[in-house]
Amino acid sequence: MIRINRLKKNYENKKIFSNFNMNIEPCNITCILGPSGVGKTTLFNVISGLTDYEDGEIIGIDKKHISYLFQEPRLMPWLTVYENIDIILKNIFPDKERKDVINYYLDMVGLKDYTDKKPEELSGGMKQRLAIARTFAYPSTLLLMDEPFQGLDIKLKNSIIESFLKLWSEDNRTVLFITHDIDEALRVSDQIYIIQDNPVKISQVEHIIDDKINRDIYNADYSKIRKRITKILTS
Amino acid sequence: MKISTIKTNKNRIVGILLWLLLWQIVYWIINKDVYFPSPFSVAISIMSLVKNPDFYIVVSSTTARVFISFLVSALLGVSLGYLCGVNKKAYDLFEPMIIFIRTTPIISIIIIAIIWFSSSNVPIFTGFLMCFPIIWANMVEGIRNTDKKLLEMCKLYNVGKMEIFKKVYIKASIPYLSAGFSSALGIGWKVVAAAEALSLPKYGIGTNLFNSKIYLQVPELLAWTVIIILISYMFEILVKKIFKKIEG
Repeated sequence: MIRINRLKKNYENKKIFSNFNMNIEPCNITCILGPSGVGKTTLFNVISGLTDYEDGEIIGIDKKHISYLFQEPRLMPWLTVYENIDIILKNIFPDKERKDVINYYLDMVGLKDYTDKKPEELSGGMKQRLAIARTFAYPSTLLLMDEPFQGLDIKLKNSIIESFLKLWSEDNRTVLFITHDIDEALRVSDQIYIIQDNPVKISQVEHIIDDKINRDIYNADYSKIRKRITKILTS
Repeated sequence: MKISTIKTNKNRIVGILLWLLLWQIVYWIINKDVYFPSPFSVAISIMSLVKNPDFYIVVSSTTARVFISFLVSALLGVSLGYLCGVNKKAYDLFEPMIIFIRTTPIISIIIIAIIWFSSSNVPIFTGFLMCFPIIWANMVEGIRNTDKKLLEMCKLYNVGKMEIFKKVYIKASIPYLSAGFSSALGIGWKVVAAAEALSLPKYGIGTNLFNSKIYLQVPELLAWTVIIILISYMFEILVKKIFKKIEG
């Protein structure tokens, strides 16, 4: 279990988090749903160690074993598809094993035939798939995903979500996932934390027990959850 | 300058021919070979220089001086530029020295170098002092403009420092280094020839430029000038091609 206790974080004299507490279940996909600008990315930056915080504690995280799927793919334009993953694994796996790991994950996201291509030769969806493959290829115990599906059309989004769930079901690692899209949250999450206000507060926690792979988010049960969440976010 | 802006090869050749024609017209107007030789007499002069066995020693001596000064500038410019790009304290330490070198008149540097070094090494030292600040400044600029988000990503995934240097900083700095190397090389040729003309090493294009001036052999003076332009241009193309290959 990952525990965030009494987190305090200010940004330019503005209190983003003050006495913020949250528990994250291991081997689950936990979604943080909230309006834009509330502090979701700041929370990820604090958890990952990219940003300092004033007070509080974060327990149960090994900072060397976090992978982060950023809002944008963050690929090196001068490196090939293969090298973009290789660079983050060089200190971790010996040559032979590294090659197998990279090829395995590229195969899982349907990019095995594109190993020698540069990112500029890939479509937006392929770039995002490559970023997902890189995130999973890194041997992390916690995976942070910051709005990874935003700006994609429905077909592409569904295909990338499928790639993501396929990879996740291989090792069920702990995932923290940020979005402001209710349907995205319903589609992949085990828990949904709805956060709001300034400083940030948890307004509601929804638990979903359906199998993620065959989830139908348009049935009556999900409509009820959707309505509840919408009501909270629009109140 | 105008020639370089003409984009296609065909246009470039037409441009060169037009400038040669203009040169010829000016020659006809002045009509004094000793002041202003025609393109033909310069061409004949080039041919006779090329036939002389010393020509190759002269050209290779100057080329070696340019190459050494450029190589030292490149090695120090890239390494110190990297250091100053990532470390503000190092930048603050080196910047005054770079400004001092940049603003010192070239003639002062050459004269000081003549006092300090042998005639053969003066052009190398002068070339280095002119090329190094250019490469250093471009490298600093490249490092500072490296995408912070990529660096953040590398930090998160614990990518090794050497790997970040080779695969992120250097790669991101290539457009800046390419521009810096091209301009440093161009200046390097000019400065080395100028320093040779003042320090007078046994073999050197600059020495020959000086001798041509002494004996009022203006066609030969212009012939050596054309030779410098051609070799310098060839090196610039070579550098551009190397960088194009590195960029893939």
